[in-house]
Amino acid sequence: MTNPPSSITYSTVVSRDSVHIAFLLAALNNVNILVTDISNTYLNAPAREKVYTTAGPEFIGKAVLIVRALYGLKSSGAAWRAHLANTLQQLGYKSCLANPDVWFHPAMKENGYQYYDYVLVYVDDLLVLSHQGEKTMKALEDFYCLKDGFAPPARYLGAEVKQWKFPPDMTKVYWALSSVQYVKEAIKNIEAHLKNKDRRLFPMRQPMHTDYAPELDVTPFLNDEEIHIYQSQVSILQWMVELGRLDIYVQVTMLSSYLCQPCQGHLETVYYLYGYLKAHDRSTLVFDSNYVNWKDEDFDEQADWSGYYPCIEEDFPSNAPEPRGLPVQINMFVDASHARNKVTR
Amino acid sequence: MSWEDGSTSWHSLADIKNSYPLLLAKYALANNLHLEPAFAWWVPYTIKKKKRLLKAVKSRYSQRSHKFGIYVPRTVEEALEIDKQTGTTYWHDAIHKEMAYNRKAFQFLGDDETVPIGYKWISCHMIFDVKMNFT
Repeated sequence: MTNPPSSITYSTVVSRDSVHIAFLLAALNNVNILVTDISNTYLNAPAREKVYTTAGPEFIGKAVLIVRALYGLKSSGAAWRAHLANTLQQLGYKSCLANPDVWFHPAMKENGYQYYDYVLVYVDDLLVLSHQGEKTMKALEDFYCLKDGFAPPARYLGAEVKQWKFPPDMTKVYWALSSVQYVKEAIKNIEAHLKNKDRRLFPMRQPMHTDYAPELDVTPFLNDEEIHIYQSQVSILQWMVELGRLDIYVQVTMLSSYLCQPCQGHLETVYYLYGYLKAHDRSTLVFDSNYVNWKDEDFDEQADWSGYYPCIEEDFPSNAPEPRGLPVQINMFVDASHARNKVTR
Repeated sequence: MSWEDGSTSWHSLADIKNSYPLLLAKYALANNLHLEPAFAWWVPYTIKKKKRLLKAVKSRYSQRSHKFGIYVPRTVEEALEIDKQTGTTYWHDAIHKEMAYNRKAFQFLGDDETVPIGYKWISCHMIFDVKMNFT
């Protein structure tokens, strides 16, 4: 095995947050989304390590240099990423400073609407947001062989991708991520597990009991087998959050703090959370690009915060790209209860 | 060994250690056998490396022989032997298909050429697997 330095092996993939923002931008700019998968990905990139091997007896045991990023070499992932980055640069895309696996390119629709089109890269999975997505895909086809061509996404990184419509404008399409299939399978498994204990999973109205504080739980510690069950179930719940179940984000984060030494109460809370999922197994995350019209009485916009935050100015970074397209409204909901933690409050 | 159905049977320590290393290590510890010569050389190590061993056992590629009811070979010779026995060319075709894709990764040196300085020799092998769609 080779032992190359991390400088030639380090590689990244697009973050799920960036994927979520991309789906929102697609609805905001009213552009199409296409996905594709590049076949034999790594073999497109030149090898970064100087390695050779010996060919089989049919080649009389000749020495063979490895000139492409062969599967199994430590540097192959990074070699492919650098190769694709080079291709996207040739196509005029720039890497985003906030997430280097998001690539953007200024674009303009026939009606003069200016925006950025995007390419999101997860190793060999490419997601293209553009009003001319086919053109981008065809440009990529000049460089790589695309497995099964390209199409609007039905699944992306494990989540089901759906197109959503809601009133008043039923012609506009919004993108949505859902994990219905995964959640139903997980519920089925937990029900089978509880059945072995002569227990049932009851539907719950909320993800966690409002009075429950996991940091104050003094129930006995779980044994080795139960710890394993707790850890695997929390991992499944974490993956649900990744797939778009943001409604259980806080509860799963709280339960994740006790993976090393959970108590019986923590495991019961996991079952409770599954009860909530049973009652809400069809929840879907819809990327709604509509602006929220906050009423004046909800927020005091004239409030003077300078006493709390003196000398604060909001500057754009000097190297930020030129703003294009419609503005994005960011709504922040600040919870001052320290995520309900009664110890650190 | 005392089995779940109530039956008992005798097995060599080596077999039990190979199949249930962690259970046996815990048994030795609980029954104060861990200082005996047959246990002393491996029980403390097994207990200490419990997590790592469990992970290794789970992912032990070499222990897997079948997937979706199909025998998965470990070497090219084994793959071709399966084809011979079954009178098919499935593995042969799969190897050819994969090597056709991988061909561009290899540069053969001419008879009068030597390996350039700085190049390191590595071994290469094929990993066989059966996909869910049997391709």
